[in-house]
Amino acid sequence: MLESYTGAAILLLIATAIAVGMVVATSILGPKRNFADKMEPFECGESQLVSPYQRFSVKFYLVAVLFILFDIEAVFLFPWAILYKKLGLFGLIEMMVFLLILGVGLTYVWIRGGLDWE
Amino acid sequence: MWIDLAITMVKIIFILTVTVGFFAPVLTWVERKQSAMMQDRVGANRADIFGFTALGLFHIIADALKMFTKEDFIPQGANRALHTLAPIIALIPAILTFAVVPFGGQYTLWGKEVNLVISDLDVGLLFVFAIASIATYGYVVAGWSSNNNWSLLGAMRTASQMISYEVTMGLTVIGVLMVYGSMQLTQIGAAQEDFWRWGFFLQPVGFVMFFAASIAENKRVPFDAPEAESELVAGYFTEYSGLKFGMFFMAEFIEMVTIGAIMTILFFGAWHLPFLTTADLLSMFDFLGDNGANLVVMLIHVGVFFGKVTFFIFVQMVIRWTLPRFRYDQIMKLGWKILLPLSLANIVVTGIIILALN
Amino acid sequence: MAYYVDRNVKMTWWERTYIPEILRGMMITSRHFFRNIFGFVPFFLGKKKDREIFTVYYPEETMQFPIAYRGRPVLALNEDNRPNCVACGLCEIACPAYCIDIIPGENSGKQNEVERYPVKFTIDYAVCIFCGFCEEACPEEAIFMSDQYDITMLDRKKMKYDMEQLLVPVSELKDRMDFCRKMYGKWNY
Repeated sequence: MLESYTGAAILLLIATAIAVGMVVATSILGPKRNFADKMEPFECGESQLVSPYQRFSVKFYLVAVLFILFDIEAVFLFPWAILYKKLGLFGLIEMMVFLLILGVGLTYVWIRGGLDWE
Repeated sequence: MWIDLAITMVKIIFILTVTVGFFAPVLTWVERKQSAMMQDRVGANRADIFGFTALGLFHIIADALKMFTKEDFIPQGANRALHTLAPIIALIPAILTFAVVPFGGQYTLWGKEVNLVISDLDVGLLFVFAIASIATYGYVVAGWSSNNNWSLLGAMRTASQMISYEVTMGLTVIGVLMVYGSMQLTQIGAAQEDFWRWGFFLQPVGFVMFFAASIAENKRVPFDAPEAESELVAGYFTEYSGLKFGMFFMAEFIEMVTIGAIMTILFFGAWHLPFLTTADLLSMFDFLGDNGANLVVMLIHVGVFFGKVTFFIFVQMVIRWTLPRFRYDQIMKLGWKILLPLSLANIVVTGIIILALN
Repeated sequence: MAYYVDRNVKMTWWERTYIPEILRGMMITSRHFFRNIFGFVPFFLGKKKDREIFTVYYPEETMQFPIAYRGRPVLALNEDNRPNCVACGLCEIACPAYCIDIIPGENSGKQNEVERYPVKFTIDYAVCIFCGFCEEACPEEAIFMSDQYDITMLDRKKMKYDMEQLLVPVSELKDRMDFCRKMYGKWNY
């Protein structure tokens, strides 16, 4: 079982080596000329007015919460989809009930404006 | 044991040569040149070696040399460790997804079953999604560690766009999985030997939705709000220079190839030629002997597969240079309010049709 | 002419699915792509006329400008190998950017000799705005706008052209001269 992952593991090692090698190479090869104005974070020529580490829109958090909800739904659907032909009508009705509950949830979020970006 | 390992190594080297060594650099040139052609321009043609320009192909070498020798810049107040780590996290998943992408079928060469996939996992498609979503961390960490307002905004947009479209992407392929009854990419590919069994005909709506979602997942135009240059300078990689910037770029281009490959496998008959089954091809090259015929068919299949991948990359490029960027609220609306309900409906309709046909 | 774009167009259901319209847009761009790729790939074989791309390969090919184009101003060198300029200083005054600098010289007033001539005549192209006022102000047909526009230097001091660099034989300026006579004839002649 785990043998089939051998190739993926080797590729992971090689990919890591490539990525790390690139970062090391660029930090060695390039010139280093630092001065105060240059080291400032880019803000269209201005010096930084506010720190980026502040509060930002709650919409992003909302999307994250919804993502967890619907991604778990997708995870439940994967095994069902593969066995679908064996499960037949029972599987369809069973999953329709599940999708219906989630559909109600989606409609609720939709109506409450959780999906609006205005 | 050792032979298997050697075969695996050959396959890995082949995949790395094709993606990292060939597609990623050449696509930078293709993108410039193709956009030029579409807009009636000439495009990159200045870099030359001894006065020989080769249609601007030497720009690849020039770009690579430039990126290697640029200063590696980390801004003041940035988190140095995370800033260095981010491009690594972004690049590794892009390469690693190719571990499960089959680029050919199964062939018998000198009494040895050769399966043209690095590791033939039975959860292939899930592996692709799982690995691809790790890249999100790379982009978010890049934006977070840069101590830059634009970077952070870009990172937040990246995060919410990528996770939104991940849901849609996961739900759109459910239809394909229901039709073929497997998550193993080699089996999905093998099931499409008959031209009329290609995913494109069985799941036309899923095809369009998956294509749109995967382009959004790769953050290319028209879904490039996370790196919108007219709004956010360069989004999450504003503070990156040299090869670190190049790594984000490479990850994007390798992901383009990945999208092309997954699209080909799921919807466009993988490595199969239309109307020509493997058995047909084998009998066609019967005069070469058993091994010879297998070898020739293998080469044809690999060629066909990468031809289809190239076609999908071409389509992505055409889309990129045709459509304007969507507004961010439009992107989120498309993901949550249109594609998500549509993909749920697609699952229901597919289920009913399969049940009716059985 | 200003016109009003109605942004509240009622779209049909077919248009609102976007996909056919996206495909139509992609058809247009790919049509350009394929038409150009067949004109472009053998560009070293065919002439420019055979290409669909109308971009000019700049340093190798240059554009033909219409006669009204205002490039860098030059001084006319007449058949007697002298500049037409009489150092009256009108162009110097007309110049809104103050890029012309003239030091006049005077002759003793013998027969068959111009009384005044420029000892030094410099134009600083780093300052020049290519407005053409000098040409319009000149009463002696001495200064003309040529069709050269690629004045690039690595050093700003080199952008200051003196008389030797500015003088151009009058035969090369024939067309522009005719054009100027037609344009400014009312005032000058």
